[in-house]
Amino acid sequence: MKNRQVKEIVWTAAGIAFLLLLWVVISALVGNDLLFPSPAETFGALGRLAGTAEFYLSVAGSLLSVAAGFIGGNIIGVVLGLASGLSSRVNAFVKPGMAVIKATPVASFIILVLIWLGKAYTPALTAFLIVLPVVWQNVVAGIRSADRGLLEVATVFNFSFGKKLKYVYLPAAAEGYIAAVRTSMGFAWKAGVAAEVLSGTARTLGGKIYSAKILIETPELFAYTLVVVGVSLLVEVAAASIVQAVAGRKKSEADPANANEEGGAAHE
Amino acid sequence: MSDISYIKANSLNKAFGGETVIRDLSFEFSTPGIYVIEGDSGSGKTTLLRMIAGLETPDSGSLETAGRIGFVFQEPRLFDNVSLLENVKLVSSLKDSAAPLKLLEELGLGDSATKKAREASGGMRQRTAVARAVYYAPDILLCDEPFSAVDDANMALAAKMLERFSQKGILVIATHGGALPFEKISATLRIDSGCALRK
Repeated sequence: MKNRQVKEIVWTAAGIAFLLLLWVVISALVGNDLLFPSPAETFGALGRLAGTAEFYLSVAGSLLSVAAGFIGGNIIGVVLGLASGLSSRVNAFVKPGMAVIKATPVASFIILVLIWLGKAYTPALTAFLIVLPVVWQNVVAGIRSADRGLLEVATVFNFSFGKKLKYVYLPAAAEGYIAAVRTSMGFAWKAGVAAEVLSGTARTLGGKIYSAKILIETPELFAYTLVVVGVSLLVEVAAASIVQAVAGRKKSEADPANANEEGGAAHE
Repeated sequence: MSDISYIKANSLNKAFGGETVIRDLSFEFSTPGIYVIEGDSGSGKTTLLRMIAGLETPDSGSLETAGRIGFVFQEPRLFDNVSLLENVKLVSSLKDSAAPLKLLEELGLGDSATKKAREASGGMRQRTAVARAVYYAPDILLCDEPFSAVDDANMALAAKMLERFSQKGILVIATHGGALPFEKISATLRIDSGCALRK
């Protein structure tokens, strides 16, 4: 491990320790576990919750509904992004809708979907609406940055549309798409849980946070919030790892050090 | 290959942003052979090839072509994520043909055929671009400085392949000058600032 990485780990650990200390100090100053539970009380509640099946069902419930919205947003975002990137007419048609989705506050979406479709669909649909414009925008940008030289090759050699899509447009869109996945994954999770809280969906983390608030079970509320933060971090780390793996593979492929067996042939 | 293929240009003009690149250029290439378009950098060679290929439109004058056109661009323009062999295969809908590998072998790339294009050297990429254009089976093959990144030994291999093509098709080579590795050249069109100086 490099010295810089060790230093980074040490400073991150120090940051976490500082937050815990701050938590201890504030809870001691407040002196009321119902208003501001201590770390001990919170982790105690977390331990109790972790011993129940209901807890795991709630985590799974939240993950499933947000994942459904996330995947749906990705599929529709990629399809609309490809169509918009390839056709200025489609782009002009889709753009206003995306602008409205992007500009509308998440809370408005949640309440409207709650009224129209009921609480069962609210978290997934909220995640979907968060992801959709981000994926769409990045795919459109990727398609528009497609290599003009390769497009000319495709024209000269009479490539079919499918071939053009596979060899020119999709590779161009891939980079922007990966960035969109990375950016929108965390947002989708947080917005999805917020939707669960507002809609009080049963067997979800947001639903449990809502119940804890109603019953003034502040340690449980803190514990569930900790779980949301933990899952969010895990999701973001997973997304970053995927991105890094893809980017790393590309980098090693492009590395001239292992580029060609002819050695000096690079400057024939 | 079609029976009749030709390139006929009459009083061609082309300008970019007010700057004339091709001026009143006329020529005709209508029999199989090697045709050289010679000129300094910026003389309009590439623009002329691009017009022949249909990638640019003349501002005035007429340009007629008959036959399928292939192009070896100055930069190889390969698809980086696929192998050299796949790059050649891509230009035809024929499946399982042994011809692409044979062409690469002929250019000294048999052992590197499965190498990803992004991993290949400049010379390998340029030779692959030649193989790709020949595999397309054009009637007219346009080559823009096809030997710029290739060493002498490999230039001879590529030249042999192009020379063979020129027995049945019209091979147009744009070059900034210097000796070309061909035994017989049908005609040379020397252009300067877009004007023909001599044929």
